[in-house]
Amino acid sequence: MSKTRETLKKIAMDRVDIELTDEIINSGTSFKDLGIDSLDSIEIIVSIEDELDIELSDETLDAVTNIKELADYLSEFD
Amino acid sequence: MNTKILNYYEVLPEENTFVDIMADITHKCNMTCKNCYIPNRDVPDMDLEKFKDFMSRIAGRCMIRIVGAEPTMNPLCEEYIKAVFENGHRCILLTNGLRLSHKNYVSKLHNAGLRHIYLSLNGVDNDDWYESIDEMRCADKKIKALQNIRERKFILDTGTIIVPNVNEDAPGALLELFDRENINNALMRIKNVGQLGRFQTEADDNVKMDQLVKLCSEQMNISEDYINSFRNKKLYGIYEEKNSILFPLREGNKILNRGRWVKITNWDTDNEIGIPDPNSPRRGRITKDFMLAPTYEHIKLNEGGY
Repeated sequence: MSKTRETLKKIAMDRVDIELTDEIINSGTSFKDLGIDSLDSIEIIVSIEDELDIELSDETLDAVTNIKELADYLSEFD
Repeated sequence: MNTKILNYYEVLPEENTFVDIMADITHKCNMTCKNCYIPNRDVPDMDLEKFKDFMSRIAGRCMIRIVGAEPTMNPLCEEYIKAVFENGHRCILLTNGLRLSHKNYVSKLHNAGLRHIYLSLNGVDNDDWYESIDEMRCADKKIKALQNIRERKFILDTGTIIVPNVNEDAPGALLELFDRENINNALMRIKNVGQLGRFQTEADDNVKMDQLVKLCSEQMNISEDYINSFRNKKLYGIYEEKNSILFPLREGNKILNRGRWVKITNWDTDNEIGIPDPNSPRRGRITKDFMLAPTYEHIKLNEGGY
């Protein structure tokens, strides 16, 4: 089980009230289609960094467009 | 004041269409700033139980702006924040930061679920500026608050009012302060004086929008063309506000508050209604009777009162 993926699911539920299943993540649904806007994005990112005590790269995050890409990027910290 | 001119209305929380909602949870304050939209201190704190009920009834998911006067002067401030999250809304605390100079207090806010803070920094790190604008030499406390906010990794907005002939060097000073304190993620809100409630600069003497752009350009090492290319763009991808320009300092940065962002706002009330951003579909305010009203229309109608 991926620690970062579980953290992402927990934070999405806690902070923006979105239930992320593996199916949804793997489908590569865009943030917009999930109802996640720019303010939600920063809240999720800050919470992930806080929870996992990691620092995410601005350049990489700017290039991330959907939930799978974010989960894949986070998996580098597993 | 003629309510027809203001296009004033009130709705029940169930009928809400606003996205940003101000909750003035107290009218108490520990500062006596020269620019304050609600200078009346003789109003009881917002009833917590009624607030909780209100949160449970608001239609849609909103950003609840916990504000005052100074919201941390309400001894139950964290309870209001918890109620916001328990009902699935977003929350930002707008504060002068004096109480946030204490780590324990910042931890209490964090434990309540808060992750987003708006800190007023009118004087940046300059006590002379603070004294001229906010009547208190409080730079040390402001910087401690900033450090505590960074340490707990809050999302940070800062607010700086530019007062002519006082702190026109503030945009550059703010960047220098951020460099020194290692603040790499923030939205710096730079604005002129709003003529609502108590204020120190009349509209005629205010720093105008073009001057604000010029000050930011010169002091933040970005071109006026770059800033102006963000004019008339929708804010947060939703609303167009003709009185604001929102842009990232680093070109190509897409996530708000990630990296350094700037929002320049012209609060000049140079119109017959006398309020900034009239008829805003975005901003609402909780009234004394727990209804929802358009923010600036409501503040104007209640000037000197609620």
